Parts: sequence; C-alpha cells; structure tokens
Amino acid sequence: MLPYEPPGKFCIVSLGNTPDDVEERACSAVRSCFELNCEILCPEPRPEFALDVSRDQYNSLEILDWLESRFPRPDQWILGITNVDLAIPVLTFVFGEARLKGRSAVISVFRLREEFHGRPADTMVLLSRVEKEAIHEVGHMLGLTHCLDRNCVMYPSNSLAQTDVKSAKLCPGCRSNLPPWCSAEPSDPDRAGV
Amino acid sequence: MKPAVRIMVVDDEKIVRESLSVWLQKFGYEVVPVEGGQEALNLLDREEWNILLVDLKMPRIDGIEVLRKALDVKPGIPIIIFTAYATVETAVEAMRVGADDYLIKPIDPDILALKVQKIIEKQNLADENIMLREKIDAIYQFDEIIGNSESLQEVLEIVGSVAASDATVLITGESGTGKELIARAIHRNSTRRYKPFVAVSIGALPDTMVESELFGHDKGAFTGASHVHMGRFELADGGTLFLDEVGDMSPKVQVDLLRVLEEKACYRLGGDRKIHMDVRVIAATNKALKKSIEAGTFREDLYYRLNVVGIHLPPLRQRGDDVFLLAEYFLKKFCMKMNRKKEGFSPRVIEMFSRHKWPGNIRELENAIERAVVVGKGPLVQLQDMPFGGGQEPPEEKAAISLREVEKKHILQVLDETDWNVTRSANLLEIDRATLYNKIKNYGLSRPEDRR
Repeated sequence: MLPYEPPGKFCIVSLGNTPDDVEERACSAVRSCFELNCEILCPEPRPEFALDVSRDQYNSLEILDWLESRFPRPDQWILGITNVDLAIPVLTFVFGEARLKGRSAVISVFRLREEFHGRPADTMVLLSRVEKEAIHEVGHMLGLTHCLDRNCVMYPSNSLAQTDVKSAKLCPGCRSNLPPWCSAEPSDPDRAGV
Repeated sequence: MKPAVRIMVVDDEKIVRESLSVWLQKFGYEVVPVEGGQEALNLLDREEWNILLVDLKMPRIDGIEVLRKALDVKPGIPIIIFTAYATVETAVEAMRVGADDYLIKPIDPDILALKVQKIIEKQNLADENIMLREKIDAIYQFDEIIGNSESLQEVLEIVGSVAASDATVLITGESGTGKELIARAIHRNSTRRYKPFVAVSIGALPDTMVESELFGHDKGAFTGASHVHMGRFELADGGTLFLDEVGDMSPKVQVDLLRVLEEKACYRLGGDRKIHMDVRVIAATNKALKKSIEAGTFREDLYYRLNVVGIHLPPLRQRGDDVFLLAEYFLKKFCMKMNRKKEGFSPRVIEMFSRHKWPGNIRELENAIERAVVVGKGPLVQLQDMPFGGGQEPPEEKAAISLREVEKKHILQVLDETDWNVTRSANLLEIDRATLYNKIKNYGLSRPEDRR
C-alpha cells in the first residue's frame, strides 16, 4: 500500500492453462509501459477454490486473496492470468480485477477470445487485448483510476468494443499520476509487439 | 479541485457490498460500503452523497423503506435499487417511490457504469446550471440603469414591484429614453429571468412580415415559405416578449395581437395547430396612444390590454443631474471598449450637458460620447469633440417674430421643462394657473408626445 515502494519483484503467473504467448505478451507490456522488472513464474493450478457453482464463474476477489497468500512477500507484486470466467457477486463478469494501490491483480482471457463471441480464433487480437487488460490492471495496482480519455488504456472497458477501441498506452494525465519511481517513457508500440 | 463523487453501497452481504465498492473505487469515486438500512439513513443525514446503491432485500429495513426514508431526508437524491430477487411488483414499487433505477443482480458492468455515469453527468449539469444562474443574477440587476433623479427612481420603484407579477406593461417615453433597457430590467428581475427575452421592433418590420414574425408560419404558408418558421411569441415561450413601437401596428396586426393576448395561444400562418404559450408581454411606444385612439388608428381595447401597468420614462432633459452620471458611465464604457484614456469632461462640456435639450435623449448622449472618445485628443473631452459643432445649440430662428409668438414659445419651453406640471410652470412664469390654462388653450399648446 502507499506510500509506494517499487516492487522488489513483479511476477506473472498462469492459473491453469493459458493460450501460448499470453504470459510473455503481458510481461513485455508491463515492462515497456511501466519499466517494471517483470518475470514469469511456473504455472499454478486452475483456481477451483474460487468457483461459484451456481454461476459457473470464478470469484476474482477470492483469487486475489489466494495470490496474496500464495506469494506472501510484501515486496512481490503478482499478476495472475487465467482461462476461467471471472466475476464478482454483483456483476455478470469482469475482464480483470486488481487491488487499487495493492500488490495483486488477475486477468482472464476467457472473454477476450474471439471464439467466446462466436468468431474464429485470432491470436493477434487476443494478445492485443491481453496486453491492454494487463496494463490496465497493473495501472490500478499503481494507484491509477479509470480515465475519461477513450484512447487511454485506463478507460474502463466493460465490453470488448471498448477494449479494442482504446490504445495500449497511458494518456499524459494518467502517466503523470504514476508514482515518481515509475518514470517510464510512453511504450514503444513496436517493442510492445515483441 | 472538484470534490470526489461519493457513493454509498448498501447491502447486508459483506462480499457484495465490498466487491461492488472496490469495483466502483476504480472509477475514482469515493465509495463507502454500508451494512444495513438504518446505518445508511444515519450516514445519509450526516454526510453529503451523490448516489445510493441499495439492495432490495435486507433484514429489518428493506431497500424500498430505505428509498422512501432517504427521499424524505434528501429529496431528489439518486438511488439505484438492485436485487437478485426481481419481481414486477417490487420493480414497479421501487420506481413509484422514486428510485432512479432498478437493476437485477448480477448486473452487467457496462450498464451499471453507464447508469452511474449518467447520474453524475446530470448532477454536474445541474450544478453548472445553478452556477450560471447565480452569474446571471449577479450580472443583471439594475446596474445598467444609471441615475439618481427622482423621476427615474419612481420608474425603478414601479419596475421592482411589477417585475414579480405577470402583468402586461406598457412603457412610454420619447425615443432614446431606454425603454428596452427597462423592459430587460423587468424581465431580469422576474421569475422568468432564466427563460428567453425576445425583443421585436414592430415598427421596423414591413406590414406584410409582422404576422409571420410574431406568429411564425408553416411550410408552404405562402410563396417562399420553404420551411417552418417559429414566431417570436413561440420563441419567447416561458419568458418575456418585448414589442417595441406598438404604435405603428396596422389595424389587422392589432386585432391579431389582441386575440393572442386574450387566448394565450396563436396559429402559425398557414397552420391549423393552435400553439399555446406562456409569454409575458412588455410593449413600448414613443407615440401618444391615447391620441391614436381618438384618431381611430389604435384600438382602445388593445390599449387597455397592453397598459395594465404603465411606465412613463422621463426625457433626459427632465432628469436633472442624471445627464452627468450617464455621461461618466458612457465615457468609462467607451474608454474601456476602445482602450482610450480620458479623465473626464472640460468645464465647457459639462456646462453644455445641462444646456442642451437632448432631443435624442440617452441614445443621443451615448452616441455623442462615443464620438468624443473616438475623435478627441488629450485627457479631457473638449467641446469640439462633441457632435454639435463646437457645442452650439442649433441656431434659433433669427427672423423677427411677434411678441405673441415669443410668449407662446416661452410658455411651451417652461411647460416642457416641468414635464407639463401646470402649477410649477405658472409659478415660474409668475402668472396664476387659470391664466396659464387659458394661454395653453389659446395658443393650442400640447404635450411633446402629442405633437408628433
């Protein structure tokens, strides 16, 4: 929690199987957008403990609790990536969840896949969405709230259309609200595409 | 910096209220999760809130009860009711009591975000509206009406008392005495002040256009009517319509106007739909309408309909020292507008101000000072800067005239200066009132407005 110290370690971990390259893409996005030293951990099992059987969805807040207890070092920040459908009790779904100014976040690729919407699979599109969702949730971890700039990655996206329209970059306003030690330059799109 | 939007989330289930609070906090809102209805009502009373999100089904005090009591304490506060147990009955009940919305759990995040955003936008607009209204109130008092003279103060007193009512007002006075300014002052001090003030100079419109201008026309009403045109009455709906130069209306327009004033509704030209409107009419004229009634050119019934309250504006020459105050005001105004520096008026100019008769009244004074600021050099306005060619009055007729003619002119001048106060004029002339009446009759003298 604030006052922020930069994380000793920023880690990305899969919870269950995730499509190829998803962790790498999220890792490079976090690295280039926030200049955070990011590493990928060995995958953990599917978060069955968080399953709400009545909805066949997984409670994202319980996953955050689990991540924080599984990786208890206070200077270790952790972004989970999962293939299961996330939700909180009051909402039909969430693309991701993060502790505002906290050290845990999780994103789901479940609804980011084209197949979910009845369209043919498209890896490029999926990776672009993963990149935006990862940066968005890490932005929350760094204290950023939603932005009104539709082009900014911190614009709230509750539908894929909103995710696809916005860029993978922070607007100057959001960038200036980052903690002082997080002084990365705007991400290089070519680099982000690695 | 604007204070953060404050949202209260009321739900007896911890996981629900906390997860929703966390989700909303990411929008930058200040969100407080609250466990029960009573606690919510206590907090509502103590602190300021923008939105309440309330679960329908709670022990002790349910959502509808919270809604009802909350609206009693803070009428108009936006409340969204949500429930996992939706029924048509509870939805209808919630909306009937005054909920802003009724959402079924689980809620689509896009819909919830949008609902909350809409409520906040609406509140921001309402706040902006209040701020703008305060600005309008601050700008429009009687500030533009300058003068300390008794005659003007009497006018302002009437303006103050008539503004609050919806009574039709007839403003009379010579050209350039500020009739429109008084009409605007009435509007700005009335409850209609945030609605339109529409001014139309009937005398300036060709007779054939007056009806179309006042009442509008429908498409195809006449050749060239290619689109629907709203009339001034419609445009002024809710506000004030200022009809200037009503003395110049044709008999046909007078009849139409009378009907509209009586029915508070009109038809557009070529239209068959009756358009109802709520308009306060302020009319003005520099003509002596009573004379026009006698001559049969102005309808008496319309005159009485317009002249519910009559305000007569005195000519500038009868406003004593107001001319100096006005001159100072205009000097400042034009110096600021043209970025010039003038400290004041030379003694000769000041002397001229009181000597000149100002037939064009305030408008003439305003134009004279505008000219002086444009052409004048040096820190003081000099006589040669004024438009009267060295400040001289127009040369009097030098031809020899009879003693009778001199007397007639002198009596007329004294009467005009006293605004036809016969007692005061008789005192000045050192004759008795009966004599003065006889002379007025013998010489066929009449008031300035009747001489037109």
